[in-house]
Amino acid sequence: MTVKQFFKSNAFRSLAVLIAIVLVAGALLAIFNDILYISDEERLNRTLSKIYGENVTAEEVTLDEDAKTTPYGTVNFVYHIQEDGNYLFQTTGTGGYQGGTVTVWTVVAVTGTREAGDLAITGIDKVVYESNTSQTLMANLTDSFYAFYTEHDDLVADGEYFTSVKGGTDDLNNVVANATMSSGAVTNAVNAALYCCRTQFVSQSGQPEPPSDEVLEEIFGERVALTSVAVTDAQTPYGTVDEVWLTSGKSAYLFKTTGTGGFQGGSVTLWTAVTFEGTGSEMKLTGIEKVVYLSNISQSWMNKIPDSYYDNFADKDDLVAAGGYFTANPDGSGDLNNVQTGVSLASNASCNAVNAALCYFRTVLLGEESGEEPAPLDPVEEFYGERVNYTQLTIDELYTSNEYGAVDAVYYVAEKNEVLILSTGTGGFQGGTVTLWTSLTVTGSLEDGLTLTGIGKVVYDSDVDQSWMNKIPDSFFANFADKDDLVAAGGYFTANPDGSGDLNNVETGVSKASNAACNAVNAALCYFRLRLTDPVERFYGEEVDYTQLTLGASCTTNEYGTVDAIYYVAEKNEVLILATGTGGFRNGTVTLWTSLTATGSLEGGLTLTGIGKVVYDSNIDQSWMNKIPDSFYDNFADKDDLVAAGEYFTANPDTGNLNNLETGVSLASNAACNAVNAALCCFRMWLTDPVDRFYGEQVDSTQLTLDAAALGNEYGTVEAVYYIAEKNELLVLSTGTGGFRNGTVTLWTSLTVTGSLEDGLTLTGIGKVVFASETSQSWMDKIPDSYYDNFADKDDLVAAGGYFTANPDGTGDLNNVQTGVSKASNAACNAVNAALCYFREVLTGGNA
Amino acid sequence: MNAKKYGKIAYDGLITNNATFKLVLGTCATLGMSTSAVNSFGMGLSVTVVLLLSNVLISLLRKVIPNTVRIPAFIVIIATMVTLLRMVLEKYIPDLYDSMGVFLPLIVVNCVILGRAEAFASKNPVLDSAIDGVATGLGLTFALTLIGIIREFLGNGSFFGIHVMDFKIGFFTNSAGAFFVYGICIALFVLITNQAEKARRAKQARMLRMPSGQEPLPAPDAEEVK
Repeated sequence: MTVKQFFKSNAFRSLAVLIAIVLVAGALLAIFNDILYISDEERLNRTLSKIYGENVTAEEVTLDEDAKTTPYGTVNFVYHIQEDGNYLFQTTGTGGYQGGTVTVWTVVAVTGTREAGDLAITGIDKVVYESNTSQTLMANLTDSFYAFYTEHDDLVADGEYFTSVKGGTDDLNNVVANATMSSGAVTNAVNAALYCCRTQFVSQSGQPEPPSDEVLEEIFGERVALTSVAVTDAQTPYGTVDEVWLTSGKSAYLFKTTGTGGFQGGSVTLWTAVTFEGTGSEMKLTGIEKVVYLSNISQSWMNKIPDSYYDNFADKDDLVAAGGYFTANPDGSGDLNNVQTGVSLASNASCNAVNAALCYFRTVLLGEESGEEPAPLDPVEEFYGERVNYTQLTIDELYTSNEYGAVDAVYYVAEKNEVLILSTGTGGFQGGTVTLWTSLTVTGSLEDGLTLTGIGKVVYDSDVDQSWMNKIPDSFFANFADKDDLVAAGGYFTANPDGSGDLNNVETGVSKASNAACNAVNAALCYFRLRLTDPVERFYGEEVDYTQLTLGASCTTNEYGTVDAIYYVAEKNEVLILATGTGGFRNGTVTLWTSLTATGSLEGGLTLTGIGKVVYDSNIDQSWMNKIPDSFYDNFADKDDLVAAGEYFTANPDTGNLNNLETGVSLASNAACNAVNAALCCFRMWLTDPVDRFYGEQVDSTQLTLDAAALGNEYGTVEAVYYIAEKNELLVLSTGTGGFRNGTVTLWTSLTVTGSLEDGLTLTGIGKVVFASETSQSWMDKIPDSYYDNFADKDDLVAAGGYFTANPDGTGDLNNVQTGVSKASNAACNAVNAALCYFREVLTGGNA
Repeated sequence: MNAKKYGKIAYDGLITNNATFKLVLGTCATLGMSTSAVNSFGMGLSVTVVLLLSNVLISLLRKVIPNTVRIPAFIVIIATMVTLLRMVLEKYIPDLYDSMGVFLPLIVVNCVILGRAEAFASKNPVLDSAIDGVATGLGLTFALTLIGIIREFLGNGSFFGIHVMDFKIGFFTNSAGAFFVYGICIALFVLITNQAEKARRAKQARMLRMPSGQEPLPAPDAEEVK
C-alpha cells in the first residue's frame, strides 16, 4: 500500500474521525470546565450556606499534621465562623462498610475564645453529610439521624462522645438499622471533630478528666490519687497513648491507650496499669497490675472477649519486665501470646493497646531506644550530652543587651536546676566578639524566683575575628566554674593581663579574646541578676519578707488589663503588684511592677494611701518603649492624694489630673498608665475591708471569734464570720469542697437573721451571695451573677433547715446548678451550706 | 404524516419500547437511585438530557463516523455529554449532584443511551433521533419515578420527601426490595400494555371487517368468547 493509498483507506479515515471527535470533545470540555469552574471558595461558601442558610464569614484555622489525626478519623479542614464564633469541621470518620469512610461537616458550638483561653464546647449545632467511600446505604441515614447529634448538648459539653452500637442503650448511641457501619463512620466523623476541638482548642486541652472512681476501684481495689503526666510522642508503633497518670502510693503508671490493628481497621481502647520500682534513672518496669476495657471502634465481637482475657495480661510480669511485647497469634505461639479464639483481630488491637502503654513507658519514661533512628540532639541537649526537658524563656527586647554584651537565648532546665544562657561578649580582638554557652546553677523556681549559686559549665560556641581563639585551652572555660562563692555574691569576671582581681580569668597572650569570653559569661550573669532572681527582692533591691496572694481568675482581670502577681510586703506596708495594661500601640501591652502604699492588714482590710514606686518589666509590640525615660515612671509616685481618693491615671495629650504622658509615645504611655490602673483597680476591688466591700458602703461590723474545732463540716470550712447588727445579717466567708478536680469555691454569704448575738439568732434566709475565689475551677467564669442570686430566692426552705444541692438533672427543691459547670456549682452550693451548717450547728448549738 | 410518524416514535419510546419496563435496560441506575422519588425523577431527567444531546450529535455525525469505529465514537460522545451534565449539575443544582453521587458518571455506561444511539440515532435523521431520545428518556423517567414513589412510600413512609405516615417496611429500601418492586412493576406494566394492545388490535380487526360507514360491532363479552 502506498502512502497515498493509506491516506485514502478506511483505517486512516476511522482513526482520523475518532481522533477528531476526541479532540473536539476535549476542547469542549476544557472550555466548559473554565466556564463552570467551582473554586474552593465557592465550594466552601456553598457548604456554609447549606449549613447556615446564609452567607457567613469563615476563617480557616491551621492545624499541625499530628492534630489532624484522631482515634476516630481525620480532620480535613477547620473554619472559625466569625459571626457566631463557632467552629466548622470537615472530618472523615473511619469504620464504615468495607473499611470505607464518611466525610461530614460538623458545627461545634462554643463559648469564649482561644485567645482568652476560655473556650468551651457547648454542643453541636449541625451535622451535614459531604461524601463517602464504599458506603452503599447512605440514603438510609435520614435527616433525623443527623439531627440526633444536635440534641444532646449537655452530654457533649460534659465531654462525652457519640457511639453507634447496634442495640446500644446509652444516651449518645445513634445507629440506623441495616446501616450500622455507615452510621458508625458518621459518628466517628462527628467524634473526630469533637476530639480535635477538645484537644486543640479548648482551654482544658492537655488536662484530661481523671479515670472514674469505678475504674480505679477495679484496677487498684481502692480510689487512688492521680497526677496527670503530659503526653509527649503520643504515637507508638502499636497505637496512640491518650492519657498518662501517675498514681500516688501504688508505684504504677495508669495509661489510657488505643491499640490499632483491629477488625476492619478499627481499634480498642484500654486502661493499663504498669508497675515500676525505683525512681529517676533507677526506675524499672516490673509488670502489669491490671488491664481494664474502655471502648472500641468497629470491633463488633468485642462482647465475646471475657474479663479473664484482660486478666491474662497481668500474669506475665517476668516476660514484660524483660522487655517483651504481647502478641495475638491465632495459633497460640509466643510466650506473651494472648488471643481470644474467634476474635483474633480484636485481640490483636487489645494487645497493641497494652503494648502502646509498655512502649511509651520504655521509650519515653525510661528513655530507652525505641528501635527507630533517634532524633538528633538539639543545642541544649548537646550542651548536656543527653536528652533533657527544658523551657525556653522569652527575652524582653530591652534586656537583650547589657554593658557586657548581648543575650541570645535563655533556657530553664528544671531537672538540672540550671539556667542555660547563650550570650555574646564584646571587647574582643579588633572589636570582635565571643559567644559562649553558660549554665548557671540556681535554686528556687521560675514562678517564685531563682537564686544564683554558681556556674555549672561554660562551653565555647563561636567567635567573630578572634584569630587566636584556638590558643585558649579547655581549662580556661573550666575556670569559670571554680568561683561559685564570688559569683553567688554578685561578682563579675575580668580578664586583666596582670592577673589582678578575684574573678580574673585570662589566657596569656590571648587577653582580648579572653576579655570577650569573660564578657560573654558576664552578660549571662548580668541578665540573670536583672531578670530571673526573686522579683520582689529585685524590686526592693534587698531581702524582704513577703506573702504572695492568690486571687481567683475573675478577680485579676479588669477594664484596664490583668494582674499577674500580687505580693504583700508587710514590713514595707506595701502591696507589690505585677500588672499588664492594655491599649498600647497595635493593641500591645505594657507590664509594670507597681508598689501601692497601704495601711491596715490583710485580715482586717487594707486602705490605699498612694503609690511607692513603679518599675518597667516588659512589653508587647511597643517598639518605642525605649523612648520612655525613668522619670515617666517616677511621675506615678507623685499623686498620692488623688490616688488615695480613688482616681485613675490617664495618658491624654492635654487633660486629666492624673495624666502621665510621654510625648510622642502616647499609646505606650496609655498602656503603662493602664498597667498601674489595673493594679489600683484590683486593690480597690479585692483588698479593702471585706465587709464594706460586700455591702458597697461603710458598715459597723463585729468579727466573731470562730470555734476552731468546728470550722470544718461535711460541706467545707468557715473562714470568717461578721455580725452586722444594722443589717440584721451575719456575713460568712466559707469555702465549699467537691469542685472540679477536688477544687474548692469560696463565697461570701450574708445570712438574714432575727434576734441578737446575746439573746440568740434565728435564721430567716439568705440575703446575698458573692463570689470570692476558687481553686482548680477553670470554668468558674461561666457561672453568671444570676446563679448566685438564686441562693437568695429560697428563704422558706433555708429557714426550714434545708441545704442546697447541685444535681445536674435539676431534682431537689434547693437545687442550684449551672448547666455544664456542675462540679463548680457543687462546690459553690457547699460553700453556702458550710455557712448554713456552721450557723445551725455552732452558733445556735444545733437548735436552728 | 410527519406528526403521525413523530407520534409513533414518541409512543414507542414511552410505552412500546419503554427502556425500563419493556427493554429492561439501565437496571443499575433503576435499582440504585430509586430509593426516593425525588432522586429517581432527577436521575430520569438527567438521562433524558443526555439521551437528547447524544442522539442529536450522533445523528448529526452518522454519515461521518465510519462503521468500524462507531461504538468508541458513540461512547466518547456520550461520555462528553455526561461530563458536561455533571459540570452543569455541580454548578447550578448541587443538591441533585450530591444525591446522585456515583450514579451520575455511571450514566455513561447506561445501556439505554448506547442502545438508542446504536439502534436509532445512527440510522435516522436528527429530529427523529431527538424525539426518540426525549421520549425514551421520559419513559425511563416515568418508570424510575414510579418505582421511587412506591419504594419511598413503603420504605420510608414519605412521598417526594414529605412525611406521610410512620409505618415503614425496611425491606423496600434495600436491594431485595428494589428488585421486588421492579419485578412487580414490570409485570403490571406488561399486563396493562398487553391488554391495551389486545383491545386496540381487536378494535382494528372489527374496523377492518365492517363495511365503511358502519359502526363496528361492540366487543363481545368474555363469556361469549368462551
